[in-house]
Formats: sequence, structure tokens, C-alpha cells
Amino acid sequence: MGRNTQASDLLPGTLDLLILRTLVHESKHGYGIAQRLRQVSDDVLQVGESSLYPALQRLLLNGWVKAEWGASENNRRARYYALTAAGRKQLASEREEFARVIGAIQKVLESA
Amino acid sequence: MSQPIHTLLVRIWHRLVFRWRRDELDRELAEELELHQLLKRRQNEEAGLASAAAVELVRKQMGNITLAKEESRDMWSFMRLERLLQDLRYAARMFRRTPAFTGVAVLSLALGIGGNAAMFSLVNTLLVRPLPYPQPDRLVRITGIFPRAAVSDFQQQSRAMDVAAVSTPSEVNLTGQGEAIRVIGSAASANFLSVLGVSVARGRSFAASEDLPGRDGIVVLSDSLWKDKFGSDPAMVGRVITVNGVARQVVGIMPAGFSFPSAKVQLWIPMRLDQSNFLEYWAGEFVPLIARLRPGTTAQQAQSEIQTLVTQFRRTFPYPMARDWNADTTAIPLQQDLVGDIRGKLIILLSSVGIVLLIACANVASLLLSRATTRRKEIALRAALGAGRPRIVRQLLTESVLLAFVGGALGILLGTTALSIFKSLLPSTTPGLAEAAIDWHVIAAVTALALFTGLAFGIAPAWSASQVDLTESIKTGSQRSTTGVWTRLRSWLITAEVALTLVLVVSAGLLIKSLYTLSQADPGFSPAHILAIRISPDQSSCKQRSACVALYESLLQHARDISGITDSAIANAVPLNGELPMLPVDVEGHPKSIDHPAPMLWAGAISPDYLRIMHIPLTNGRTFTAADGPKSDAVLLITASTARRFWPGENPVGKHIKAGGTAMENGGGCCGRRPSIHIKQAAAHLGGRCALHAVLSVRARGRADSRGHDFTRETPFRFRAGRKRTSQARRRSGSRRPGRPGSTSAGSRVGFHLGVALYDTRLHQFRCSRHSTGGYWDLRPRIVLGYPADL
Repeated sequence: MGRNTQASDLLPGTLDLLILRTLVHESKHGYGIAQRLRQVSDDVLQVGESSLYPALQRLLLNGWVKAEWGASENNRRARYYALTAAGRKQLASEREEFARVIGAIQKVLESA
Repeated sequence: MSQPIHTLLVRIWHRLVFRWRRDELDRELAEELELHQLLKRRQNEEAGLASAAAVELVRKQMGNITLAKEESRDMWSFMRLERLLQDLRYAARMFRRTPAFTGVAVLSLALGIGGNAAMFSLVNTLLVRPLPYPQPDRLVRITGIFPRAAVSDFQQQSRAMDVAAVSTPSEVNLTGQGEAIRVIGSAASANFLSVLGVSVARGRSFAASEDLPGRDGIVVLSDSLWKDKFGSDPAMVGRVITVNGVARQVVGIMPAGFSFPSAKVQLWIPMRLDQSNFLEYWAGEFVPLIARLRPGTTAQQAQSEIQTLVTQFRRTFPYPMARDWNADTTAIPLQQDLVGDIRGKLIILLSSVGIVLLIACANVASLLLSRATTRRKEIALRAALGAGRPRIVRQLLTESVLLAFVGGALGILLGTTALSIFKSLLPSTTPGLAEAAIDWHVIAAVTALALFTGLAFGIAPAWSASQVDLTESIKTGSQRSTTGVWTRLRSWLITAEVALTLVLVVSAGLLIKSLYTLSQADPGFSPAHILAIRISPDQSSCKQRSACVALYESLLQHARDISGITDSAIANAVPLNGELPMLPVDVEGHPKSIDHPAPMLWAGAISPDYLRIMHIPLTNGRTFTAADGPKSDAVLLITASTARRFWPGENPVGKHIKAGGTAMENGGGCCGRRPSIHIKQAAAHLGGRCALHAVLSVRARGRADSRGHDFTRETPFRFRAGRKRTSQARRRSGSRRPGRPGSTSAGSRVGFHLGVALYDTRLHQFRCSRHSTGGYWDLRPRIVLGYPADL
């Protein structure tokens, strides 16, 4: 099934966290988010559209991002996503949680 | 992941908004994805790929776009809810198509749920809900019954409890305001309201010393009596009414809903605690005691204190009491006492309705299982179209829960009927019984029950149905390819159902058999064509024995004058109704000692014709005759059981029995020296307690009921004696409810205000036979002998 992209192999909720992170400094459209994730992670994180767009809808539903239509680089209409205040708060708390979990995993891996 | 409430609200709000804009959102998402595709293709082309290859790569990289769209769409609406509605609509359509199946399933569920709804309501009201008094767990009943002397003694001696006494309710005549009526009253110690923790709605309660003689001419009314009889007149407080011929001032009116000790009590008079009245204080009517534990005392402390109290009190009796007198007295929670043996009955009823529900569940489950077999093709088709197994199970469970809810709704209707049946099976004196109703507690419980049963009987069929072999089912259209497990489950279900049904049928059969045996049992008399009319003259009209005797003589004569009535007799109670007084007796050849206290015997008072009218055979000796005349005091009849008890193998004719003991003689009142088991009625002092309520039995030709009507309609007029007092006759057939206004023969005025009621002995016997105990059957009036018996 098409859901077997790398994104769904991540820890649950991680994709949402990553998307929120890419939107911290500027609003982006869907393709831009996917590109950014790929570039920053040196092509490690390839987010399939079938995961990305439902995730964006979920973030919209939760009120963590808001969407606005604007002109894209090739003069076509594109939907730009931006963080809301609630989204920023969510990102902060999720990062903390993520760091905690990763730290814990690290500890387990490094234990004798 | 913890989700704050805020996010949840935002989600619900967004879903509502998105639900409206669904089509627009759909278009926007499509546009977005299209742009994404375009940008991606361009990037691949820039990377040097041929256009066709770029398209192909994009398609690969994109993944399942349809799924993404579906997933997004789910977020734009209340998908689960909508699916549920869809499932419900589908289920309703399915059920409409198979009305026979639906009818059987809904009906069996309705029976099961309805019975449980009614039982839940009863159990909730009677066993779970606490008594409506403050700190109900501190209220206790002191078991056993005690003379009035014990009330003041315990009140003074007890450190652990505040003791009060409320007598067993009895019927009293209420006059002085409009028509005379008969109501249920209790005598209560002055502190009974404060012990219960209840205060009056109007006026005041009894004051501390108002149980002393001379100050007890007061009465407290129930709200229902105040409303029904006195039209909620606020000026009633302070007015004087006449209760059993004694003028009493109304001092208080209780709040609505209050009644104690049974639900029918309408007025309370102070229980006179008069040390100078030896008979009343030590011997007369024995009363039940209640108490409230004082703060800081435990039930155990109270129980051990009671032992001491009883022992000490026994020694203060003016005559020796048996060593084991009330030795097993203890304190039990008041609620337990009021509910009595109903707990057992309720548990039996609860188990039977539980079994009925189980049977219904098993029944519907096996119906659904066989239906699942016939629906294999439909389900296989759904699976083929992409429905996952959980989805199919959910659909089928929705169907069964819908079935259960419809059954539950019908069950609530049936439950109201069942509740009234259950209520009529329980003693009407049960506290709180009237309040048992199908309320929202019950509806909530029924909803939960329906949901539970729906899942319980639905899960197995749903699971079995979802296990379809796709190709096999669709290809062959086979409807028989059920796996062995489910076939076996079905036969287990049917076995269980039959087994449970057998349990019910057998217990119902046993009940019917006992009922039949009871109806065939020879009660020792013949109730056919017998009417019993209950008469309560006032104490005042029976103060003089001669006047009282004359009253009853003329009543008997008058009854015979009515056409259709062939015979009449008087007794102080009809057989088997348990209202006979009990008397301690001295029996010749059975001396009393501390270890062999005076035996207690039931004392009946009858007129000479009574035995003949009731077809009670005399096995030995003779019955009363007119010739006994004034000497009739010295004659009595005993029952066969009494003869066997005291003189086994001997001829009891000519033996002597002294009834009432010394105390009774001294009092010179009730039943005086009549040594007894059956005393000649005219000889019994009718002004006394035992014969105050008499039962006139008449043998009638034709329809006994209508003759009784004639009698009660005519009698009050015949007995007009100048004084303007009114009486009211009411019929007491079948139901024991107080007479409704419509059923009274209004406007009749008599001097002796006879509270006349009549009831059919047969009905009464049937009702009472449920209470019958060993003591009762002792009463089987096989009269042995008549005999001069002045010891």
C-alpha cells in the first residue's frame, strides 16, 4: 500500500512535528515543505504526498497551522501553510517530548 | 499524546466548518496535489529525465493519492457518526424486510429488558435508596415487642439510644368533621418524630410529656389525610376531631410523603404511658420499638446494651416472666426491618427476570447466527468491495444494538405494566413501594442494559459472519459454508436456552402447584356464599356491655331482615385473617413456672350461629346455645389442636382454662374472665379491644356482593339514634386500597357511627393465605367442645 513511505516508519507524531518545524520561519506550500525536509535531512527523509497532505489536513483541523492561497513561483495558485500561536506552542511541547524519548532511546542503546 | 481540551474544541469546530465546505475543500486539495505533481515533474525534468519517465517517476513517488484524498476527506466531517447513521439506516431497512425475525427478536428482548426494568426500579427504590430520614443508618429497630412500660423504662435507662415506640397501624374511626371515615392510625411515643428526625409541616409535634394521661388529647395528621379529608384547610391546626370517640386537638400536619411505620398511616396519636393503668401499661397491646443511636455509639454497643435493658426490664414486671422472654432481642437496621422478607422475594424475582433476559439473549443470538448464514453472500460482496473485517463487524453490531434498543424501548412500556404487577405482589405496607416508578434512573439503566445485551448477543454472530471465504461464497452462492465452531456455538446456545427455560418452567410449575394445593386445602370452614362485614363501633358506644351487646344483637337481627340474607353471625375476626388477639391462659393441669410461662392462645369471640353458618364442624361436645345465657362467661370452645396440645389422648370436654391471667381480670376490661379459645361473642366485653372490631358474617342467597351492598346501604339508616353523626360504608372487596369517594354510600347518618366495610371472605382468605404460618393453621376451627369452665 502507498502508505509505506519512510515518513510512516518514523515515531508516531514525528511527521507533524517535522512539518511544524519547517514552518517556523516562513509559510510554505506542500511541495515546499517536502523539498525542505528532503534538503535539510540530506535526502534521508522523503515524505510521500500521500502522507504529507493528510498530515497537513490534520494540522489544519487541530488549528496548529492556517492556510492561505497565494501565487507560487510558476505563477500558479498555491496554498501556503503558516504556523498559528497554538501551533508554536504545540511544536515547543512536542520537541521537548521528542527529545525526552530520543534521549531515553539513546540511553537504552548505549547501555552495556 | 495528550490533547488539551482546547485542541479538541478546535477540532470539533473545524469539522463543523469543513463539513459545510466539503466540495470546495475537495477541489482545493485536488488543485494543491496537481501543483505538487507539476512542480515535481519539472524538477525531475531539470534533473535530466525524459518527460515520460519523469511522469512515471512522479507517479511512483507520489504514492497512493486516492487514499490521501480519502483520509483528508474523513477529516472534513464526522465520519464515524455518518457511518453510524448509514449503518443504522441500512439496519432498519434490513429489519423491515424480515418482519417475522424482527418481531420475534424485539419481542423476546422487550420481555427480558422490561422485566429487568421493573425489577431494577423496585430494587432501587426498596433496597438501595436509603430511608428518607436524616442519618438513616443510625436508625434501628429493637426486635421483639414490648409492653408500654418498656417504652418509658428503655427511654430512661438507655445510654446508647433514643428509644421511641410506634404501634402497629390499625383502623380508627374519624368523626367530628363532615362524614365519618375510617382511617389508619398509629399510637406513637411523644418523641417519635425527633427520633426519626422529621419535623411537622404545620403546627407542632408532640411535646415531651404529652404521652402522659390527661395531656394526650391531641393528634397529628398526615398530609394526605389533611388534603383529602380537610381540603388542605390551614385552619385545621388547633381544631378538634374525634378519633375513635375521643376528642383530640389537631396539633400538627406532617409533610407530604411522610408515613410511618407503613405507607398507609394517616394519623398519629400519642401513646399513653400511664403507670396507673395497670392493664394498658403492662399487659395490653405490645408495641414495636425503634431507636436512634446516639452520637458516638456503635451498633454493637447498642446491641449489647439492649441485652442488659431487656434483662433488667424483665425483673420489673409485676408478675414473673419467662427467663427467655425476649432474650433474643437485638437491634437491626430500621431499613432492614421495614423491608422485611421482601429482600428474599425481590432476589427471587430478580433472578427470574435475569434468566428471562439470558434466554432472550440466547434466543436472539441463535436467530442472528442463522441469519448470518443466509447473509454470507451479501457480506462476501461487501468484503470484496473493500470493507475490512472490523468494518463488517461494526455494521453487524450496529444492527444488533439497534435491535436491542428497539427492544429496550418496548421493554420500558412492558416494564411499567410489569412494575404494577410486581407491586401488587408485594405487601402494600412496604415503605416506598408507592414511589417505585420507571424514572430516568431506570431509563438510564435500561439503555445501558440494551447496549450491553445488544453487544452480548451480537458479537458472536457478527464475528462468525465476518469470517467469509470470499471466492467460495461469491462463486457458489453457498449459504451453508459455516465453519464448525459457529454451528457448535449455535447448538450450545439452544441447549442453554432450553436449560434456562426449563428452570423457569419448573419453578413456575412448583409455584402453581403450591397455589393449587392451597386452593384445595380444607380451611376448616366453607366460605361459599358468605359475606363478611367489618364493623367498628366507637369505644364510647360500647362502654357499657349491655349497650354493646344490644347493638350487635340488633345488627344480627337487622341483617336477617334483609331479603336474600338467610343467616347472620358475629365474630371478632374472619378465619385466617390473623387479626385475632392473643391471650395468655392458665390451663388446668399445666401449672405455670418461670420455665413454663403461660401459653399464649388466639382468642376468638363468636355468636352461637357462627359455627353453623361457616360450616365449621364440631368434633366433640356442644357449641354455645342461647341457654348459656348470662352464664356464657363460663363456657368456651377449643380447637382440636389446642386439645391435642394440652390433653393428648384425653377427653378435653370438662377441662378448665383461664384466659387473660390475673392482669386481665383486674383490668376487668378486654375479654374479662372469658377463658377461651372461642368465647361466646355476646359474652365478650364488646367495649374492650378484642371485640371492638367485629365481623358480621352473613350467608346470602344469589350474588353475595349485591346483598352486602343492600346491607351496608340500609344499615346506617336503621341505626339512626338521634345524634347527628355520619357514617360511611365502603366496600372492601379485592383491593385493599382505601375507599374512593365514589364508592361510598353517601349521606347516611347514624348514631352509632358504624364504620361499615364489607369484603368477600373468599377473596380475603386468598389474600391472607399467603401469610399463613404454623400459628395460623393452629386456628383451624375444628371446635371440640363446649364447656363450663370457671376455674
